[in-house]
Amino acid sequence: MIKTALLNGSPRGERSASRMILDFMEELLPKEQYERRHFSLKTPNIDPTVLGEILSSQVLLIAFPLYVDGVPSHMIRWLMELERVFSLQVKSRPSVYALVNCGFYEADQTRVTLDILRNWCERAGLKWGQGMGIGAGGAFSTFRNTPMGKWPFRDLGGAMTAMGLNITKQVSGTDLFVSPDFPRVAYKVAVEYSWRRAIKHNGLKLRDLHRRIPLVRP
Amino acid sequence: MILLIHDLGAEEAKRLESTYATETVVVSDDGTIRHCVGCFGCWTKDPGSCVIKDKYSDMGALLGACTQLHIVSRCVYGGFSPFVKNVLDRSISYVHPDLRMREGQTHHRLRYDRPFRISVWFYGEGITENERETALRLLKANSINMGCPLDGVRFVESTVNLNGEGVVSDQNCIAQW
Repeated sequence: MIKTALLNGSPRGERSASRMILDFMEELLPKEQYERRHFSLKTPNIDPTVLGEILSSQVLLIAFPLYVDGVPSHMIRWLMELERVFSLQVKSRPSVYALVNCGFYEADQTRVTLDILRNWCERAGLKWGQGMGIGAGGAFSTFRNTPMGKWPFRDLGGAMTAMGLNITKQVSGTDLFVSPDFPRVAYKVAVEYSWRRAIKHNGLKLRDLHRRIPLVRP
Repeated sequence: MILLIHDLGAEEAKRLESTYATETVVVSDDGTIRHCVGCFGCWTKDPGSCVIKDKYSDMGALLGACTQLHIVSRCVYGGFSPFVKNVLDRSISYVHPDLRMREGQTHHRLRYDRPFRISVWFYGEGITENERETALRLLKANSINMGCPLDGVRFVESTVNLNGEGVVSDQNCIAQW
């Protein structure tokens, strides 16, 4: 059995797009060959048990949301600790496959973050497998019950199948960038509508969305 | 006003901060910062402020009020250190949740009218070429996303010689974008 750790770096945990993406990937790894275990890295607190499980895995599948063009801060702490312990470990080190979703439509906006992960692999002595950038991450909550490969996740389904194949063959691949199958303008309209619905749900006025906070000096 | 965000230890911080003029607000690591939980409350519950009420909850307003943003951060894999990134993650109330096109891609609409200028000093021993290249592209992305021009970035092995006024004026030391 190939021990595979599915690491969810979203602070939203089980309710996150990252978890949905990992669930999709899990289905592509035959359970007869892969021991697939999910771990949540939702806080910066390093759990030694989780750390031990990651260290003993042969494949790391990491998913998290793009935060300010980069890795969420709590995940950086995990990466630094993993670099430290992997550097001490002399036995075989896992291959890393990463999936980064962003709230912007263009999946390409995750490119720098995948490079940050690649640099981490270099420092930690890990083998970079493949990265995937996923655009329009806000669509995942709306289409929570849509199977991968069906609209609007047809292109994404194809990309995930390709990555899944690379994982099962234990080979590296070029990074993939994919967005759901609807136009950018439709995503923009849907996202902006969702913010207005949320602000009204929270008992505020639509104009509050534009609020500017005056700076009060301490 | 200059907003200085850094991750330096107490001694180095004291020395660096002493080189800045009084019109500077310093955001530093006192060990109490909490991480962004992705709730979007800073857009839909208390727009403009982070709903995690600690001393870092008004970062959006601080960015909206400053004319220059100075960041001093350890370079970690071509990105910011956990503390500096934490501050930036907690700063997204600076932008508006709506989307706008900038440089051919969707980015957030800006909440405040007046953009600040950004200068960054990445420090650390043995920063690799790949990390430098990644860091430069990261800063360009940040600059576009926040709608703020990047004055420059400088990579240094040590923070010993950093000097607030000196680095601001010493354009030769800053790689012009």
